[in-house]
Formats: sequence, structure tokens, C-alpha cells
Amino acid sequence: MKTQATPQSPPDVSNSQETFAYLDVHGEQVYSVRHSPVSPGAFRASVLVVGPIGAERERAYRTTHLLACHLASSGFDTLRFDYRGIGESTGDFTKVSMSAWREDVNAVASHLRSNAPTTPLVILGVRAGAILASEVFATGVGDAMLLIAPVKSGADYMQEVMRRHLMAEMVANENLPRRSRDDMTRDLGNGEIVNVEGYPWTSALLRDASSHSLVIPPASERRPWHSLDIKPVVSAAASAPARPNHTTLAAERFWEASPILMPRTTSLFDATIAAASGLVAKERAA
Amino acid sequence: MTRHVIYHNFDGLRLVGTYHEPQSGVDGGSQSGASAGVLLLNAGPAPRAGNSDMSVAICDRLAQIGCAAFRFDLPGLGDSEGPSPTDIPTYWNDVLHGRNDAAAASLVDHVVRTYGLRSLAVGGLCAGAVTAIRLAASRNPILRGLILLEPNFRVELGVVMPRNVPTARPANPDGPLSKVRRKVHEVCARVGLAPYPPETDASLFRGLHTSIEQGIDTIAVLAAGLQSTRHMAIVERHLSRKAKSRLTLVSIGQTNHILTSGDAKTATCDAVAKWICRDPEFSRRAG
Repeated sequence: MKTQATPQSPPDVSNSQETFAYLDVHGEQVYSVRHSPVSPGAFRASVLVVGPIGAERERAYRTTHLLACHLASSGFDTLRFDYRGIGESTGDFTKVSMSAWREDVNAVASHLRSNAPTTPLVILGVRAGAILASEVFATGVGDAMLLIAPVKSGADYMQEVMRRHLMAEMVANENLPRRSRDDMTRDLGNGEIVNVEGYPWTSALLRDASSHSLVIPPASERRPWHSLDIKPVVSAAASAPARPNHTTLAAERFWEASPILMPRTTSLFDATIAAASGLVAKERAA
Repeated sequence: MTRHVIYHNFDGLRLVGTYHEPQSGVDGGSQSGASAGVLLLNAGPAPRAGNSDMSVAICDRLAQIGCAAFRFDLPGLGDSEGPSPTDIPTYWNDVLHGRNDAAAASLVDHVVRTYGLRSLAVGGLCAGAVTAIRLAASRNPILRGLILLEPNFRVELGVVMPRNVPTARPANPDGPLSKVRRKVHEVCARVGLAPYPPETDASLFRGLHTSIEQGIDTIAVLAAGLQSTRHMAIVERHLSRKAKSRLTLVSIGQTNHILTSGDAKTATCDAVAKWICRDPEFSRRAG
């Protein structure tokens, strides 16, 4: 029996207004979108969305956009941005790296902080963005941290993207020559620029990525943080049983290529708002 | 190169786009002498940057050669307002039935008026190409050219939906209309009347065919070995000799439908820039 799809009800974004701007970071235009609560009285905290990287950015784009709208509607002044060399931001992809993107996070966080110096700042990292969020949080940036489907390390992430790229090529065009991750790594090592998911990877990018890992705050960390791990993602926390600071959600992998364009994200959005609210309450209590 | 965020209000929705300002102070419109620009629409449901930022790369390249280049998110896509499409088969079906036609026509009008241009080449990848063809078929007088990246003429996409997640409008290739269409095609093909494969949207073929015949310069960038190559060969075969000179076919080997494998990104940028340079209306540095 064929059934009709029942699209989920769209998230409430009526209390969100967007402002688009470019921020100057090392002479490049970093694209930013600010989602502000329409009612000033509803203002609770600032949220910096440190989003997915590369092809995951475009796949997760609409979900991230709606999440930011949803946060704004719930009283969070939310900013999302594109890293240098990716999406709407200018920059040469062959000259950037995770270290450069971490600088972008710091620059955008400073911008947010200068606009609202007394407002709590929540750093929200998504996927590989969670690595960068956790690294800047570890240096004292932000008053609270929230991670969504965090990736364990830059090296793991690069391996995952290469595997996904090779799988997609096999499916998309049987005439393409077969390659392996070892082939790609060897070519990169030889100084070649290798196309991975449409982005020109360099050996410097790969080498730099291996120096970045998710930084789990130590027990002594006084600032609140939380991780929303999405099943069945193999992430830093998902394989562990219930732990403090971690929630495992059954939600769709919105950063992957799928014929489903609007994954069911209600539980993710609700969990994000609840976690962000909880973090801000803890931060204020502290 | 400098980029600017730009907006257009369409049907109560704010659409968001990017303007790639031509380099070296060359502005679009009357200041540069160039009277035509380029507008790229969303590659399928991807945000306006395109798959792996292909649209960004093209517009950067065009701005480098002095051509005003624009990208816009259509309603419900990227940063634009509007209900988000739920799944690819439904979106594809809606695009074939004109989901984006009015918004695209409005964007074309907005861009030429705002930037002092007289005409535009419009294009995109896959569904973006479909909307561009439909725009050309509507005989929009502003249209000067078509930039078709992997145009898709299929009525239904070969997308496998995950189990338990049916599309809003399930495809039914065995339905009575499909059977009739195939039968009619078979009969016509026997007498040489129907050049279009039965699984394709004949009106889209006809729209493109007529547009080129009526003077719309067109470039189609195709992934070698994929269906688009066969389909565009059909279009070319049935054009008059004069119209054939208006169609540029560029075949790229060892790539996929979204042109992200191999060297397709660079090859596509090169091909589009070269095509634009043929026409001095697009850039004072052209020719």
C-alpha cells in the first residue's frame, strides 16, 4: 500500500529576523548570517554556530539555517558563518586548513562578544565544526559549549570524507577509474592537489587536520557544556553509555547526501533549545 | 574580487543572493559598456553556492573577466524564505511543473533593472538548468543565453527513497499515462516524428529546441557517458544549421552528474568563461 508522506510541521521561525554581512578576516570576506529574536525582551544569550565543513556544509545547510531560526525564535541571538574558502566566504581553499578555520571561529566569536559583551556566549559546534568549537572553548572562548554530532578528530574526519567520496564516485559513474584512500593519500603526499567531494585537498590540509581533535573539557571545567550525539554516528561519545554532559538522540544524519531534503529534526531542534537553555541557566547560576 | 549580499522580494518572500562585482572596477551595466550579466540558479536543492561551491567558482571566474555575475537562492532553498522542499523526487516533479518559474522570471527582471543591464544569461545545474530552459521557453525578452550544467530531461529521477519514507507524490512509471506515452512514442519513432526518449519531458526538449532556434545562445556542460550527453545530442541533431552554431556542447570526462569529480570544476569554469568571452555584451574584456 502506498502512503502519502506527512511532512513534519515546520519549526516556528516567526520570531526570527536575519541580517547578512561579511566580516573581514585576514583580508577575506567571511559570510555571516545573524538570526535575531524579533522581540528584544526574549533575548537570552548569544549562540555562535560553528558549522560543518566542505560538502557537509551544503547538505546540512537548510537544517542549520532552520536550527538558527528556531534558536532565534526561542530567544537566542544566533550567528552562523562560512569558513574562508568555503561557500559564500572568499578565500582560496588550497590555502586554508582547520587551523585557519579555527582562526575564523575566534574572529567571529570576538565579533559577537564585542556586540554583546555582557551576554552569555554559547559556542555550538556541528560535526567537524565541533572540533573547532571545542578547541576554542578550551582556550577560554565562550561561556558554554554545545556540540551536535561531534566528529572525534580531524584525521578521522578526513578518512571518512575520502571514503564517502570514493563510494559516491563508484555509484555515480561506473566509467570513473577506481581508486582507494591509499591512492589519494599517496598523491597528496607527492604534493598533488586531490579532488575530494569537489574540493581541492592539499597535503597541508591533511597534515594540519591530523593535529586537531575534539577536546572534551576536563572535570575541573567550570563552564557548562553538553554534547548531543546522534545515533548511529560513531563519534567521541555515542558508543558510551549514558554519561554526564551527553545525550544520545535518534535523529537523521542531516549532513549526509540523501533524497530526504528536510530530515525530521524536531527532536534535534527541541533538544538543542533545551540544552542551550540549560547551559545558559547553569552559566548564570555559576 | 568583492562579493555583495543582495536581496529580492518575491511574492512576500525575501530571496537572498550574491553579486560578484566585476574585477578592476569594472561594474556591470553602463559603466563598463557591458550590458549583459549572468544569473545562476540553485543546483537542484543545494544552496546558491552550488555543489562543492561550483556556482561560486563560476561567478568568481566571470567577475575576473569583467562580467557581472549573480547567484540567487530560490524560494525555500539556501538562505531564502519559503517552505523547504521535503524530498528530491517531489522537488524534481515540482520544478518540472514550474515551481521556480515565476521566481526566476522575477529575479531576472530585478537583476537587470537594479544593475543597469539589458539582458542576462541564466543557468544552473540539473534542476537549475530546467528552470532556465523553462524561462527561455517562455520567450522572456531579457534572456540572452543559457548556461546548462548537466541538464536533466527525465520525467522521473532514478532516486531510491529510504524505506518507509514515501514521496509526497509517488512516481508511478507503470501508470496508464506512462504506458500511453511510451506507446505513442514507439509509434511516432517508427515514422521519424518523435525524437525524444519516452522517459523524458518532451516539452522541455521542445522548449530548449525552440529557444535556440529563436536566437538564444546556449552552452551545455555535460558529464561524458551520462544521460545528458545523449539527450543534448538529440537536441543538437534536430536543430537547423544556423541554430546549431548557437549551441556549444562541452563534454567532460571522468566526472559525475554534479560535476564534482576529477577536474570538472576547473573545466566547467574554463568552458563557461570562454563561452562568455565570445560575446562582448557580457564583458568589456570579451572578444
